[in-house]
Amino acid sequence: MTQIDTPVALGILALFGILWVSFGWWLGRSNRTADDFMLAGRNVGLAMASATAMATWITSNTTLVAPQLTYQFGIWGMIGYSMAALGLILFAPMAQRIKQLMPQGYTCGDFIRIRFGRPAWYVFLVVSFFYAIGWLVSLGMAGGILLQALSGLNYIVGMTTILAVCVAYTLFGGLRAVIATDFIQTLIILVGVLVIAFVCLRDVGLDTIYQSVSVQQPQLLNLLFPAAIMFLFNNIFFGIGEIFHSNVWWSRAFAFRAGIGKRAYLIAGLLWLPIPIVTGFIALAAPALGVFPPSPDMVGPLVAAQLLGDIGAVVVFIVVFAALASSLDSLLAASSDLLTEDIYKGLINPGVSKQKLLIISRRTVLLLGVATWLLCLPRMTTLGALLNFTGAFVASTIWPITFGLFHTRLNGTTAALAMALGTLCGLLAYFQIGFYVAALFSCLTSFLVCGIGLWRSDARFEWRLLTDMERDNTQPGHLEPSNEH
Amino acid sequence: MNINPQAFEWLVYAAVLITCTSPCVLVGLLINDYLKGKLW
Amino acid sequence: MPLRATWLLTSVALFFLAEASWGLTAYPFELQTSTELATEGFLGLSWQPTSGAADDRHISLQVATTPDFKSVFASYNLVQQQQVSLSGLADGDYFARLLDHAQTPVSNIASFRVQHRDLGAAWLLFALGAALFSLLLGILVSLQKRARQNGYLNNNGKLRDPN
Repeated sequence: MTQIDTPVALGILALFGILWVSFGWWLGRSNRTADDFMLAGRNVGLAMASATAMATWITSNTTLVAPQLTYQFGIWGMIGYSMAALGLILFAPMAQRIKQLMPQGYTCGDFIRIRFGRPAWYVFLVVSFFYAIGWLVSLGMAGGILLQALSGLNYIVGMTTILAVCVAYTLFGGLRAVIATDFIQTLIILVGVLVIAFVCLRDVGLDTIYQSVSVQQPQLLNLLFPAAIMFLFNNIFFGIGEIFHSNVWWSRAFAFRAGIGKRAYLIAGLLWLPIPIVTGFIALAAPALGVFPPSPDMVGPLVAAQLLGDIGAVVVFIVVFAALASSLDSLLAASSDLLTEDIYKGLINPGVSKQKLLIISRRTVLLLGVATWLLCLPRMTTLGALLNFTGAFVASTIWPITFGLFHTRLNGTTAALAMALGTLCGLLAYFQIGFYVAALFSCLTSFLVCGIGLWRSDARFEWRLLTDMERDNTQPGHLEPSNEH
Repeated sequence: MNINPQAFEWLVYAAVLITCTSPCVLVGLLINDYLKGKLW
Repeated sequence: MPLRATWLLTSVALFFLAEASWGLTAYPFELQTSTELATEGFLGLSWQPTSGAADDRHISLQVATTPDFKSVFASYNLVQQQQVSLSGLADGDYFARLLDHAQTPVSNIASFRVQHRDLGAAWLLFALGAALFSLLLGILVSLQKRARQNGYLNNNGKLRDPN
């Protein structure tokens, strides 16, 4: 495989690292309050909002796993992966509702705690942290492994650099830096994947791709490919579950200016939709190019390198670095919010002042970065595989959150049971059938539990409890976030 | 039942075309927000 | 399932053949499959040199649908690889071996079967997923409508006057 020289790789890492960190510092210089740091002043405009939602959803997975799934599941794999955009699209009305119900909210944990009470909140935090750690570790490890494969750079050096850069600019700039870098990273990713797709179309051509695949990998073009048919809706529910429950998306709903959340998530979803097809179809060029990947997740980078030579490796390197960073920073910021707001303020020190919260928030980003680094250090593939299980966990939250946001009758016990039993059934399906059904079974079980709960319950939740959550807590010293930037 | 070659082509070309427009949409929105002073 | 029985017999026979030939002529590489039954049409093949001196620079992997390799399905030229991932295979029995640049076999024969999952079961899950998704869509739309009509928040997200 074509590799870039290690000094070149280090140069690119240093260049983008310095760029992101200094940009983060520049953006963060006016952060005064926890609202500024955690939620970018709660006044993010439409362009930034759309781009950040889109960029965060373009993870290293979109650039690596989309080709992998196309290589394994063919046409349905590609389309199924692109359907993950439905998560963003369906979250659009919820983002609006979240902002309306909780104008002073910080995290999805706040919502679950107030709406459903403590038992459901505990279950939710377990699901949330399991997912966040799985995602963080898989991103950190993917960074190290990929940089090593592309440039021969030592795993620990690559992983450490990526993590350090993301922690540094998130620390300096908070969510504002995360969102602004996301905008630029989106543009870099889009241009990168388009360059590779254009060269693939020009040099190989869709006719040749179709012909060679139909001879060597006939099932990939088959619309009646059983496992792929099973995979389709599972991936949709996985995506919806990831977005509905994760504080990454909730914190954005709080941060966006009132009235734009719905449009921003819709635009992001629609623009994201075709990307897995653009990154995925190049995997089908593998047999035509004589590329036989050692493992399915390497098919994307290998085909790109084959198509573009040295330049291809550099393009993949930059795109993957941007994709990793745009997700890693969001996840660091959102998970540290969850730790600060739910664990520190919720469990340890409920009377904490806003100024103290800002300090704690920064420390948590650093701590989380160090924890991720420690978990990535041994390079245990079993840890990276954690993310595969999470489909069972996150899909169980879809119904409790949907009903919780819109329906007054769903009570806390039902929500807790729906999440716990959903996860359990999902895991069972994972081991009995395969990874491509876990989310579906989890979502189905959670729906049945919620249905029974709604039918048997006569509870009535007061929405006002959510709206009023921060009123009593507002400290006199709290500075109003300024809009003049 | 294999996907029709034309349908396959159409799928890929449509995806590439929409992806081409998205940077333009995002930058357009950014300029619009900036001019209205609604960036943040 | 007669087909299955034949396959089992073939595998057992092949296993003993491979074991027997192992003792006589040790191949430079030991070829292994990640699974013997691929229900998704994809699997991994890997090989390790049995002696330190094995030359793995230019190896080709030959995959056939018969154990005598008379009907070769595909050949893959592999440079400095010790594993390869195959995908998109249709139902059937497959046999694989490694050849060196002179087309001499340099590994044991590894066999695997591809048997895709039942299409009926797949459609059932697909229908289940589609129904659940439509339900989610319908419920989201109707809940949102109802929230707008009789929620205590108005369209601008402002609190309605409680009186």
